[in-house]
Amino acid sequence: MKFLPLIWAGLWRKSARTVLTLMAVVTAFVLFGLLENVSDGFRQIEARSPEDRLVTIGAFSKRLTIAAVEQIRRVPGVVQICYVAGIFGVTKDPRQPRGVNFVEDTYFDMLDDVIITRAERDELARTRDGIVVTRGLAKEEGLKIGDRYSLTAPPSIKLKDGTSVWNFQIVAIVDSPFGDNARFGIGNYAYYNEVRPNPTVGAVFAKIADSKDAVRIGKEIDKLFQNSDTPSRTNSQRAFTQSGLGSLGNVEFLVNAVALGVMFMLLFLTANVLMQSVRERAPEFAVLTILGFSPEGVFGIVVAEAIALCLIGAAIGMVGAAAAAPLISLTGAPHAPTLTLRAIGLAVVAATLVGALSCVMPLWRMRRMSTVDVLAGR
Amino acid sequence: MSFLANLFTVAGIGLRSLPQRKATSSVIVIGMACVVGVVVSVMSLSTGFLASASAAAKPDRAIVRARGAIGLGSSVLPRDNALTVMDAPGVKRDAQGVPIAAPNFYASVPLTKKDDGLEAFLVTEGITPREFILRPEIKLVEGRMFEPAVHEVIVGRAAQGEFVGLEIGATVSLPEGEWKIVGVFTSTGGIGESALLGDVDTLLAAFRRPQYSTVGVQLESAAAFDTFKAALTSNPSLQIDVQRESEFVASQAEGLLRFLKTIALALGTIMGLGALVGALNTMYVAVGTRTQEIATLRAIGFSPLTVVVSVFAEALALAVAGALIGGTVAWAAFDGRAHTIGGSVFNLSVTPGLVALGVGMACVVGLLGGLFPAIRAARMPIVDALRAT
Repeated sequence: MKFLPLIWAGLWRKSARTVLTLMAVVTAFVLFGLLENVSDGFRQIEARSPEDRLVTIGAFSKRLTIAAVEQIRRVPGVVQICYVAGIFGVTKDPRQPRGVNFVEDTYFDMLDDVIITRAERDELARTRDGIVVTRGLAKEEGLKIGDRYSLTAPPSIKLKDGTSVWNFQIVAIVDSPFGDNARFGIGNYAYYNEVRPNPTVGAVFAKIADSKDAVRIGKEIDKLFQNSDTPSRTNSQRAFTQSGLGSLGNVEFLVNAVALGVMFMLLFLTANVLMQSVRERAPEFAVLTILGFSPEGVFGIVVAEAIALCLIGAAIGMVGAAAAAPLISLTGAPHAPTLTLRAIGLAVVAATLVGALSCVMPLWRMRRMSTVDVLAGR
Repeated sequence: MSFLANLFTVAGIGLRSLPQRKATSSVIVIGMACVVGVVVSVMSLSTGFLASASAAAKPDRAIVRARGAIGLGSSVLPRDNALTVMDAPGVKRDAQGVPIAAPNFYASVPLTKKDDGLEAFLVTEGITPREFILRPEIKLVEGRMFEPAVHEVIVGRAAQGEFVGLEIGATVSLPEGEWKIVGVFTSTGGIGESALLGDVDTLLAAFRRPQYSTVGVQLESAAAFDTFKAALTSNPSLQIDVQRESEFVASQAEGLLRFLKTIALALGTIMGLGALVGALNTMYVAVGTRTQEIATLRAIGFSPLTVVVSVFAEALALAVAGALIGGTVAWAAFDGRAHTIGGSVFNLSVTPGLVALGVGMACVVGLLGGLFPAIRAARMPIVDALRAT
């Protein structure tokens, strides 16, 4: 610890160079933090998809009938059930479709895609054409509680009155765990059932007693509808999510590849800076040796300087990434808080590694320098 | 002329002394290679997708969907509407006077991918024999054509490569049991080939759907589109969207392309900044080690401008070399590699345009990275610099 001032002074020996290097470390870790943020987001979605919840949808792009719900409820091993029907429509911008899911109150017990209070749930259940919207949607459309909200659906999603304009009354604005990227509404299935000429069900969620039975119960459910008009497809929520994320391509691989590329670039840069610094300061290190520092002690000072530089840069970079995270929601990727413990841990490890590894070449050189030659200016 | 000659001399001296500064100079090269490699790789997704999607899309063919439908699968087109569309003015007719137009039905089948074992959806398309006149690029290359009224389909070559269990003789689960794969077709590659094709009426009956999804037509010419569209949109009995095939494909790909472009831009900007800092550092060192050389040149009469330009030339040459390396690595690693997004198979594509983009980025980094060191070099007091050890 007593060498801290020495290390600190060494760092600022050539302040312009240190600042430049620090900037490079900071940029690298801003990017690292953002990349971690993206993969954290995906991991979070995956983690939020339980294996003990089955999702049944119509196979081959056909929707299930409401009768399917009762049949699934009676399957042994199913402990709780809820279902949802979705519509989509547009308001002002025809290229921005908005989705509304119609549910029954039990939906909120089983799924947590919105953070909703008991009072808000009751208010929704009481209001026939009520709708709960996410804060993200409310912000984009400028909605307040009590407003009317109407969506124009495609002609195939007709109401009984022959139009395809769906009118709602906003009863609550709620947060979503996925932040403002989540833009949708939740209405009453009873209302959908009442106004839609041929009500169907988009998905049935079934909580099962034991996640080990997921595959078996899933097969049993699908067997029920095998020869019906609407064959079904059942998967655990986890498998469902994985397949959905998988359709985006291999995000994890891409993120890791980029992060690795960035770290490699950084390693090269800091190693080079250190090399120059060690070369220039060779006489100083020689003096330290003469003052009684062991060669290991001198090496230690160089390594400590490098690691300190990387850690300071990493810290600034991660804070920067946390600040910049809301900006990358532009990409539509889900976002999680940047500074998860995992991300911080990885950043510390990466910074230490880059710092330590970048010392290898400079130290190799230093080992071959003779104190006497250096001091003699040879 | 003498200025130019001087310039070449000084830049030449600088560049020839590069090998003495291998380690520091390689920071620019490797940094730039990393940046360009990453950006080009990400962009190869979007160029590949676009190329694949638009390969088969023609401006003289049109797609008619139900109004407001998202994509193809959610479109529901009543049969009488389909007939009206196929008979509309502007549609090309064959020698017998029959319009070259065909209805389609789209659904998706869940299948298992070969690479990660996850489930993805493959498009299943119902077609009529007229489809092969409308889209001559579809060719049966193996096995035989499906027969109507029996449960048979043919599979695209690209889909076969990406999904498990699509060999001839295998079966896929569609409504009403197992459907046999009897043939393999090719199209313009990629997305056009990631599908199963079967008889439209047999598929509709199996899905118990009375109505087609879309209608595709061959126009008399690309210019006939306006006539065609006007005739259809003025007909109050039709609730439809009319688009040229090429425009439809572009509008479908828009979201994905924007997403990829944003990622590439964000990565490129941040990594580019990192490379810029590296370049600045390197060029300061380069100017530092060449202090006496630069001072000597100045002393024997070379102008400060030639010195500035020589520093720029060095930074540029290094950055561009790095960009070319990065582009080449990305090309070797990714060009032509198959990739799936949402069940559509396409090949990544590293085009000369992308590499040029990388070189452009390198020029910006090289110029900015050379700027301050060049100014320092030019303003160096000659006498002090000559005395420096």
